[in-house]
Amino acid sequence: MELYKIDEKGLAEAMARVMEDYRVVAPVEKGPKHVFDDIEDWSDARPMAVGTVLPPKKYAFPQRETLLRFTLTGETPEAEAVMDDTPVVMAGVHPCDIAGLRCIDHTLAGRHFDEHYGARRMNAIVFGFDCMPDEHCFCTSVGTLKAESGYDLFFTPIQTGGFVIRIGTPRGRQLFEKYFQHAEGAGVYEESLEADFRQRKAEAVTAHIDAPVDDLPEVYQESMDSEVWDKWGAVCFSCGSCSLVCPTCYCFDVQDRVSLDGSEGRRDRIWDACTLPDFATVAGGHDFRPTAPKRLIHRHNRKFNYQQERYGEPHCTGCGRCGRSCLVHINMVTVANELIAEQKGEEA
Amino acid sequence: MALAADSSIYVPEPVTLLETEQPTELEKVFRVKFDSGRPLGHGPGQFVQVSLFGIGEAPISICSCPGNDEYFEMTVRNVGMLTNKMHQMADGAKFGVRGPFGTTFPMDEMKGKDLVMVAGGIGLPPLRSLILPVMENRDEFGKVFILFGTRTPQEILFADDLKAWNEIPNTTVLQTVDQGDDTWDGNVGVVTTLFPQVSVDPDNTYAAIVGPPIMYKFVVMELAKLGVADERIFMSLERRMKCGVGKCGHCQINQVCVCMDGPVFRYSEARDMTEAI
Repeated sequence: MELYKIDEKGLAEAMARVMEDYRVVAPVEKGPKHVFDDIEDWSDARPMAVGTVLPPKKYAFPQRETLLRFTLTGETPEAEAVMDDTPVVMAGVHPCDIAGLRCIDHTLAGRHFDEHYGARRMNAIVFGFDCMPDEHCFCTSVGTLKAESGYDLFFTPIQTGGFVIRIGTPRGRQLFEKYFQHAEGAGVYEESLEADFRQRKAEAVTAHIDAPVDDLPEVYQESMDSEVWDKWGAVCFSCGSCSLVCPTCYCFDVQDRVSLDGSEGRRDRIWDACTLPDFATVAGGHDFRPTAPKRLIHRHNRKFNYQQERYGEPHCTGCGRCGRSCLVHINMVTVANELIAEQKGEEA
Repeated sequence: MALAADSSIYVPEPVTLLETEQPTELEKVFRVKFDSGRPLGHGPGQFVQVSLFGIGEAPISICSCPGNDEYFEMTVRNVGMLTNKMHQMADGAKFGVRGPFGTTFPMDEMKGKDLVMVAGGIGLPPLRSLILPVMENRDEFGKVFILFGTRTPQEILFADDLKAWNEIPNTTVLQTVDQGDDTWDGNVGVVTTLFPQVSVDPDNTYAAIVGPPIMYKFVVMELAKLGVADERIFMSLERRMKCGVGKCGHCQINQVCVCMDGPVFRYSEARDMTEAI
């Protein structure tokens, strides 16, 4: 594969030109945290910032999205689908969040293709960036240290300054040739120093799951009755934060809103969370998952068992967001390791 | 990328309410047809998403016979916002429907076999979409037992159908209520108390179950006592649903979506899913 390089100044120059033609979003500072937001000046971007509050999935699958607009005035109700296919460049998408988008694709762009998601997703241009993990990250445990695909362009910092650029798609190549190839300090990079960065990145990861990721479906399947769930379920507030910050969670509720005069309205989908009470309650009041431990079992199994078995990859990408956001410090790595230890103890 | 505005999987098709019938205090039967004239084309056990703009959507089972090109029917209990609004609708009202969705009871596989069909309360309507085609092709099946339990005699649905099915040779309808009253001289007790009256060739028997969540494991125990293998027991499971097409995540049990991989499951599969029954 051809590798290219660009220096910091050349990148800023190229991104300024990208911004002339595209909506660009990237991690920016917000108080003590970082969030993905629109930028108009590349100097505001913090593309390597770890742990944005929300993952960039919000541009392919927004918190609230109108699916249909309808009129209520005629004899027959009429509806029109609403799609947004405005291109957006997401700059600063880390390997964990690239994997997150792929996980959501399995469901929303799989059987019964969701055109609303498809329109946004296909027009979401991914400029991946490498990053330096913090204490919550555990990408090395779930195979997301490096992105093999899922990006248009991918930028890895090099010690001598600047970035190595990998091209991941034909669209990425076009963008590279148009905006980056001729920027100042750009050129072919023949010998990759990516490996050096990746080594340092891997060493920065301090949280590890104590079993190979391929073993996790069995660990979780055998742990349905584990007391670990009762322990963490007893402190879980069922607030749903873990799901709302997750790069692979896609569950949604659907709500109708009607104008004040009752003549028209819209059908929106909004993010939902299987950890929230009533997520599994049916009309008539029966709740199929009525306790916090049951909801935790379901959520954690969706990450390391159910979806992993169905789609062939873990639906936890090691981003660490749920651990950062949990009010009572429920953490994927801690829970996994407790289950693993419990099973090892049983075997011994 | 350009997408036609009408290409969304979430846009319902307009239907017209032809007529309703109210067999019980809480339930109404809605007879409906697509304005486009297209038949629903459902199989036994499938459901649709009923869509009322301004209110929302709800999954509703089809209770009419597959193969009817003129109309389809749904039995709706008045329990929520959407169903309450449906109950207020007059003949000729227009609303939206998406579907049909989900898996079906395997009619072909059941042919030539004895059948035990067990319904509890509002479980009878979905099961009726299997019973009706069985009755229409009655020669193709062995002995048929239909077991139906409700809480009270007032909650009995499709009373005329039940009577008519019981008249058909080799077909036995057994009914029970949890609590009897002056009008009731039949069996009193839960639906499993009817099983002593069932006699089938267990190696040649299929079962279909639809009812409230609590019912399944007890009915399965009775079927096991009869000697019916898990592979030949089918059940329709109810779950919260928002989309009907495997997206919204609400109906997921283990790795399956009830809307897409169900609602009809073979018990030998459902048995191993931790939350199924």
